[in-house]
Amino acid sequence: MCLALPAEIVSIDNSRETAIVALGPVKKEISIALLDEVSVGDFVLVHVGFALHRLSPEEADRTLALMREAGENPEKEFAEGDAP
Amino acid sequence: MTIAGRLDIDLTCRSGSSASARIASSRPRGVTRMFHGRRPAEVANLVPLVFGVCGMAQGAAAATACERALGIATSSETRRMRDSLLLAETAREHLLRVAMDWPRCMALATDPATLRQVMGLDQRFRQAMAGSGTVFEPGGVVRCDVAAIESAVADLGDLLETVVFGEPPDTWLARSTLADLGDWAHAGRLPAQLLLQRTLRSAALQIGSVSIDAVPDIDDVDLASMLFGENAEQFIALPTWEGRPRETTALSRQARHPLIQALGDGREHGIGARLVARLVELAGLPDRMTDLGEAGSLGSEGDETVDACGDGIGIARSEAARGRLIHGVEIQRGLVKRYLIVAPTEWNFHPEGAAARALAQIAGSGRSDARGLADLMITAFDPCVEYSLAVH
Repeated sequence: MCLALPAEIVSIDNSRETAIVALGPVKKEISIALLDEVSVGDFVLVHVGFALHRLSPEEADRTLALMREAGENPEKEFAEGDAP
Repeated sequence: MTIAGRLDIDLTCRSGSSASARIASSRPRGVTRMFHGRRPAEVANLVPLVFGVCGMAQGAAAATACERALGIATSSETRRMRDSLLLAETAREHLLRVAMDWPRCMALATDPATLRQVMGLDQRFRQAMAGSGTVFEPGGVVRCDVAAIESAVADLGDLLETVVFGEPPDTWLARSTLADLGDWAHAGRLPAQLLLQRTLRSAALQIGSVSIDAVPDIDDVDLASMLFGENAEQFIALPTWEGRPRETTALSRQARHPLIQALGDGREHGIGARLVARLVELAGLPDRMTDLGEAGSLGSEGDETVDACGDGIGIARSEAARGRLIHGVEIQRGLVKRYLIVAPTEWNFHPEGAAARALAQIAGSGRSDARGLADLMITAFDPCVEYSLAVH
């Protein structure tokens, strides 16, 4: 039901409109084509390989903590998701 | 299995009845247990964060369900803000399908500037909701920046004209016959026009025709008995009503529009009607948002009794971009005891549901372009998770 995971932008390739994002130890490339301005260090909500929105570090922490408390493993989820 | 899950769709193309479409879902059950034991206000604010793809629809349903469970009335201003956010999100999602997914289905490049315009407008709607941090707080009273919303609605109309219709949305919405639709499709080269041109040219309008069997307006008490009853898990994962899988999509919502009726064959509607239904809904959104500002609410949730179910149980619905979203909550001693969600993807991608039947029809059509049509059909149904498509 429309779950999206928060991740931190660690590098940006403006020519390809992609970014490497990290969730814990897991890194992957996603599209940033939907967002106007993103910077390294921003947190974004990732869904099917696209960054959908920026969110604050506090919101990202809160969401991930909630998933972990519920016994979920967001890092594993992130690693298994498809590229755009 | 992952938290979000995915759909694996397998088509066996044969002539006649041996063709099949199998849909396997790894959508997890019980994700909402993360809300159990928390305060309702905390849950209503967490829901849009966790379910961020359709966060506004989710947030509105969560807040309303909690209010009903607690017996709190929702102020008309708050309801209007939630409805405005919901419609803005519907516009964003439909626009992304048209501007991003439809070109992909035609192997055309997307225009990044258009995608950013869409997302930027969505952001403006959110910013116009001053104090929107509390819009999903049960019983919250909030005020919005009416002038900013009106300006964003005007810009939505302009954006629709520029990137989707090539004419004012109202003008497009007045088209009512197949000839009108054909004239429009051939009048320009916007992605929606190109896709309709191709669909017309390949005689594919009626491909994947199935009858619309819509999710009806189910009474709160009946829904509560399904969500919190013995077979709740089955209902949430594979919902049916009166023994039948049902559909909740833009098509089931727009079935009465003259263009949709013109595209159908009785109650049967194919890929053409599904594509056009999204356009019909999109074209009507600026006026609906303006009406909302004038009338105060969509009236979708009305002024029905706030605690219809009693016993600390609250039920709410949001008409999200992908279909009707249902939330149910049970609150005991000020904490959420149980929280359940039925998402539109579960109805629409039920193994025997509308998408499966439409895809099986494509599989049995004998067409050489079955894979592309199947991909387009899945995009038309618009699942909210990743999917794979195998065609044999």
